[in-house]
Amino acid sequence: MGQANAQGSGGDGRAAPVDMPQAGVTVAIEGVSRRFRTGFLALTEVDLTIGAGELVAVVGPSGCGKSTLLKIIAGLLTPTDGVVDFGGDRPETGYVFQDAHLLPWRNAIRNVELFLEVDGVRKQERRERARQALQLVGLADFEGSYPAELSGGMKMRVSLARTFATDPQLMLFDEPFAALDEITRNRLNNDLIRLQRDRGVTGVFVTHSIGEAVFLADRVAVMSPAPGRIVGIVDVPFGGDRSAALRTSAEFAAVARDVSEIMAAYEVAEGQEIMAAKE
Amino acid sequence: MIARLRSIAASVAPQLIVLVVVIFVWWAAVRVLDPKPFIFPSPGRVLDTTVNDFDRLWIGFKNTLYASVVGFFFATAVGVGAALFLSLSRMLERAFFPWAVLLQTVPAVAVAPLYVLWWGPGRQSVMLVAFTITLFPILANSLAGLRSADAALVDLIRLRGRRRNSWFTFSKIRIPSSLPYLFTGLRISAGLAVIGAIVGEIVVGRGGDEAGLGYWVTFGSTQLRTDFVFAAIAVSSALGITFFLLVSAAGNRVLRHWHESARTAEA
Repeated sequence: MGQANAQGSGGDGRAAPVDMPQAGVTVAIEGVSRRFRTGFLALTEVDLTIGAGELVAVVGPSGCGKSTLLKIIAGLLTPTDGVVDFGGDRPETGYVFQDAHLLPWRNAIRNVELFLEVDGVRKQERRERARQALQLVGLADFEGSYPAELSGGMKMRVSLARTFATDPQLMLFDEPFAALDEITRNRLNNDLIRLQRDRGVTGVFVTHSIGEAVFLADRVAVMSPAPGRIVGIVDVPFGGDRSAALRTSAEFAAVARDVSEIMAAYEVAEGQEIMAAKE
Repeated sequence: MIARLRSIAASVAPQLIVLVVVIFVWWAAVRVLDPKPFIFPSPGRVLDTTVNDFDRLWIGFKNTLYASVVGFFFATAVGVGAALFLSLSRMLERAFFPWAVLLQTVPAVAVAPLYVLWWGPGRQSVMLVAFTITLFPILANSLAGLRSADAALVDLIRLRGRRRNSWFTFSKIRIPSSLPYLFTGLRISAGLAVIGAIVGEIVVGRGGDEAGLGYWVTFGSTQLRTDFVFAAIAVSSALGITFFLLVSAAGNRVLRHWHESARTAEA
């Protein structure tokens, strides 16, 4: 118990800036299954432990229950079986979706303030924290702009700022950059890595891009097609050094190959099942 | 400023040209075919009548305006209130909304005599017809609007301990999200309110101080004064259009930022 407030740095010796709080929390997913009312089994027996300050990417084919898993971690869905244990109270959780989900009638800074408003933070402090968060994502000059005046990437940044403004201990990403072009996407990935590691926030990042998973994560968990379960975990041995050059290195390619081999094995298995069913 | 005027002129000009052409064709047709004036009066004759009978039309204008505005405001209050109530749960919506659809299928002309029977042949019956006809578009649109709120964002707020039906969610997310839909309903209803009032006045059939434009239409046709009927119809159309434009302008003002997002989505 009491793990939620641990000052751990993820155990792999990454140094964090002195004045940044190490906010990470441990997440232990134990035997989680989820069956929907329709009878569809989305997840079965998922076990995964995420260390404090660690970023785990979850990859898998679409419809494998990745988003369901995130919703269960967030507490938006209850598992049919199993538990998610945070070693204490439910941590402050940030959740970022594929779209920015901003309010069109509020300018950037008022959008960033929204969750603080929910929490009852007073106006002056709210403003201040929102401004800092916008600075963090590089949008200090756009606080008065409305979502309609911002590009897709900028809207995503406002959405990130809105989440980071609440000082989350756990960040859940549901394919957050899937709708963006590759240049914007890479740039946001670089920034995300920086934010995540500087603050030592624990993160779960769902994506179906293997490259994105390997670039961002400390470990990549591969899920099988539905019913989803974790069929392999690949360690990503690059520590905190995630420069753009990494993407083109041989080591990067090797890790990505490991991930895609696991994925491919299960796709074939599924294909054979379908063939077998036809005969 | 000049550029602005020019752009207004450019957007209005095509409509005005159509109007001028239609009036010209009307004038030419009457000139050539020469129908009896009580069958089809010329534009000039209708204009003369409008000027000569201005006092009557003015009384009609005021009464119809009053009845339609009061009906419209009551329908807005009741429609929005009912939509807020029904949006509290799917269950409530399923139980009540199908019955609200009934409102739309009942013809106003058919219920008007009942209102006269129940509440007498006075203003209140006229307003009630306007109310009945305008209620459904406002209710249906504001309900759809309340339902249109970003579900993922409502979930994110739920994660922070405020329920779907909390005051926070209503006031900061769901009600503002519903405004574009609400104004669509209000715009439709603004035109309908005038129609409702006129139907009511025709059924109620009370003249004198209470004579509305609907009454003058009946009055004119029984007297075979077709030019006066035309004038009354023209005034009621003008009233409906003005009402519609006022509501649209109010909507545009409130929804400035929504419109900007719509514009970007188009581009």
